[in-house]
Amino acid sequence: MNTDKWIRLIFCSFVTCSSFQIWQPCTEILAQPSYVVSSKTTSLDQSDPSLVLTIDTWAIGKSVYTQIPKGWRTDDEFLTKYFSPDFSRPFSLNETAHGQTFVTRLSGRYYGRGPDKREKFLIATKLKAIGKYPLNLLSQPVNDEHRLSQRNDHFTVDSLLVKYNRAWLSASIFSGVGHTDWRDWGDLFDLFPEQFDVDNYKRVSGRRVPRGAEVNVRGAFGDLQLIAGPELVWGNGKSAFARWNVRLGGIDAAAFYADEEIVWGREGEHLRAAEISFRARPEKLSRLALAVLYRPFRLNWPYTFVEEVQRGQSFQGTKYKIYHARTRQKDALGVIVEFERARLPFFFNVHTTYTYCGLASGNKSEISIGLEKMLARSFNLDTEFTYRTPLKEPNPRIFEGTVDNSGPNFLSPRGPDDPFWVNADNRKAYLLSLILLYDPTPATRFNKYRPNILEEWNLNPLENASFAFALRYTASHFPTATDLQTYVNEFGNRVWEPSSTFGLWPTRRPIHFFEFLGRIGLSKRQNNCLILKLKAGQSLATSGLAYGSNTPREKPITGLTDIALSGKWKAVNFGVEFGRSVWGPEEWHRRFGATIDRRYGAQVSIQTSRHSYLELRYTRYREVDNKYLALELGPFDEMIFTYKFYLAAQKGLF
Amino acid sequence: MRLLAMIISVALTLFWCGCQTTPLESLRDPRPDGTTGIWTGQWLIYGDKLETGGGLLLFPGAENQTIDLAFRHPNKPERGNVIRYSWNGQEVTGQYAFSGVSFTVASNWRTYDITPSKDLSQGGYRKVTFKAKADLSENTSVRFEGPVTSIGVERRRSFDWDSLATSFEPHMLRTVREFFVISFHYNGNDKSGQGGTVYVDDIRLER
Repeated sequence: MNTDKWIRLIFCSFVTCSSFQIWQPCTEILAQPSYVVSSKTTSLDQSDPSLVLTIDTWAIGKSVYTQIPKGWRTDDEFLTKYFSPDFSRPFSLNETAHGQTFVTRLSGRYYGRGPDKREKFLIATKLKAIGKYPLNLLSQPVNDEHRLSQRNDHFTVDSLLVKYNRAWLSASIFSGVGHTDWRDWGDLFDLFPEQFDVDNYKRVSGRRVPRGAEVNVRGAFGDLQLIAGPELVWGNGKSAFARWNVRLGGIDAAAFYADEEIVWGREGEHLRAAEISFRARPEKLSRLALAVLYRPFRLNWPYTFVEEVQRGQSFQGTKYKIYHARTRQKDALGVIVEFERARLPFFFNVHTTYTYCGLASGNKSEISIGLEKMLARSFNLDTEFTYRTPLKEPNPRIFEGTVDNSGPNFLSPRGPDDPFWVNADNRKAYLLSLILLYDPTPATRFNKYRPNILEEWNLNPLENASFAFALRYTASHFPTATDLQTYVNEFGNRVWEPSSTFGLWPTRRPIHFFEFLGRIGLSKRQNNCLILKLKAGQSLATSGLAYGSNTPREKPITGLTDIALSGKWKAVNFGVEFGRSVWGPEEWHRRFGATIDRRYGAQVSIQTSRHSYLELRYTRYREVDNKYLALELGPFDEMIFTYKFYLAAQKGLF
Repeated sequence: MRLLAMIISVALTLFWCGCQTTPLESLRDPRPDGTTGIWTGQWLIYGDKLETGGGLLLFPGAENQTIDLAFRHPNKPERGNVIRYSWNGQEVTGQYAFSGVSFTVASNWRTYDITPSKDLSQGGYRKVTFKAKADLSENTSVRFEGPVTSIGVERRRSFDWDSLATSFEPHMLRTVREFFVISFHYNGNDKSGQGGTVYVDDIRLER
């Protein structure tokens, strides 16, 4: 019997077990998000067992029906499918396929006895077995199941966590387990970025990211944490990070160190940085923070820059004069000062941040001012303005020949051989953001995790207003271009844009974007609600590869409209959406300027029992203007019927 | 309630306004700023990295071949990066007779047909020069061509680093799609050969 048949047999057995409820469900486990191996620290009563073993598992079946309209065809390209017009086929292509996947999480927790009853030891893993993959899937063909089926492989480990925990010490080894950043610890320069999208990293690259080990020691000397691993940040190389936090009088002091191997750099080249920060509350309603960064990256390194001059003095008839210089010690320094004051006479809250980064430590000077004001009893207006400029502007591409027939470069935008760059984070910008929030019950905050992010996942499920909404207007003006940027390619590796590109183009005038997120409560007891999400305005592609390409596929800017209505009523979730000229669903679609002319979607899902869940999802893409024909985003109709069965069991020993 | 209706009306108006703008007009094309209009008659196609602005494609398919554009040759560390292209002699798209790599104007084979060709005749180039080393198996030869694909240099035996060149007339470069092409050819009686490995560096178009 081959592996595929074994998996089907297991699947059938599983469904049978589910029907007879042989295993007792553990609702606490089911409530945990499926993508994170839980590392929750809990304590037990004296009578509770010392060792708790847990298993919870999903059997997921999918039936996928797809239709490609006449005049189009698809070709397999690695994991994705490329669409192209094919006028020789005057009929639509229909296909149906089925797939099965098992996901199992196993964990063992050992709890202490006596006065210290906390969780002492944890081992947890998430495993996946794939029976069959529906090869006709078009809406998200880049995924781990597809990759495994191409390799004729059936099993994968999604995550692994081994953790030892004491009052003064915790240590862990992790693989495919997300981590937060250290901003709450005072890392104002964000040396240690958060990595939470672990499912996405695995789905796109096939690797478990982040991977590494961590030690955290706490005592009278403060709080010390060390993390090291082969890939702590997706697409980056080997790295190590350290943090030390201590309280000195009324000041929270912190020191950070980062050492990252540069995968695109010269052999053995590392990017090292050290930061110290101080945070204090001079009075009850104000907060002050200061951070100093030292990042000695490629010091005494040659670089070029240009200035605009009159034609007679310029280089080869362009409007630029080229200069050469070297980076110096002072270019390694950076400073951030933050100040916040609440309950001022006119404004409710004011906060301001000034950032200066030398050439090697970030190449920018930025000031940001935020004002928050209560307009009426239920209305709140949050305004934020940011002005940013790089210390050295990006290099233009100066080349032989003409725009239509270009020759070799005299000068290209800065890339992998340079000590600093201008990219999306430090390009010259004027940014204005206005957020109007209507919440008649401010005691239950509108946003759950982060303020000012208007996404459904950020809505507070405890919000008890019958109607609440947030409206955001953003104006962005980028008067200058950028240098080259890095991106993670289709194999999950970090690479540079080619030197034949021109970076992100400047904008002539501010571009506008509007977002609306509204919630209508239908019944407070079961959190039944309707959620309306609207997005409209102009949106820029994020990579220079989408700007001024020789091929008519890439769209550097799109005027998009996206409307989505979703809701929840008891055990039923439903939603419909319509998008016009929207970016494709993957991160790289916006990077490469790939849009969908018309996108329609509808889904309904039902929790049929404590063990089972059904979902029907319909997706339709249409090409309307026959311009910007993105390779991966051709027209299709797709209907996916998903059925999930889950079981969980917990066993206490000793 | 009136305030709420007003805010929603304003929001919908703003949405509508945002959708009406023609987006491309919001961008400024920086390309003409860096245009010199001149041709110096020298183009370093590959020094330490590919400088064509295009990409590469393996032909007739990508099987049983490897290419590294940043290979550090152990015997020539002073040379920096070199191109290393290798074929193991096995099947490539149903045949065993040849395989190759082409450094194209297009960024990949998907865009090969829709990328405009380059007119390099304005550069006045008359030759392409390069340095190469080849480790060839029995009955396998290596050929270097481009940008005129009908003119090339062929070697039938292994050789160490050698300076090579091909010559052509500038008017032959009016519609260039390939800057440089490296190909292996198997001429043996057996079904397949052992292939070979070639290292190439310092590719230049010159007058």
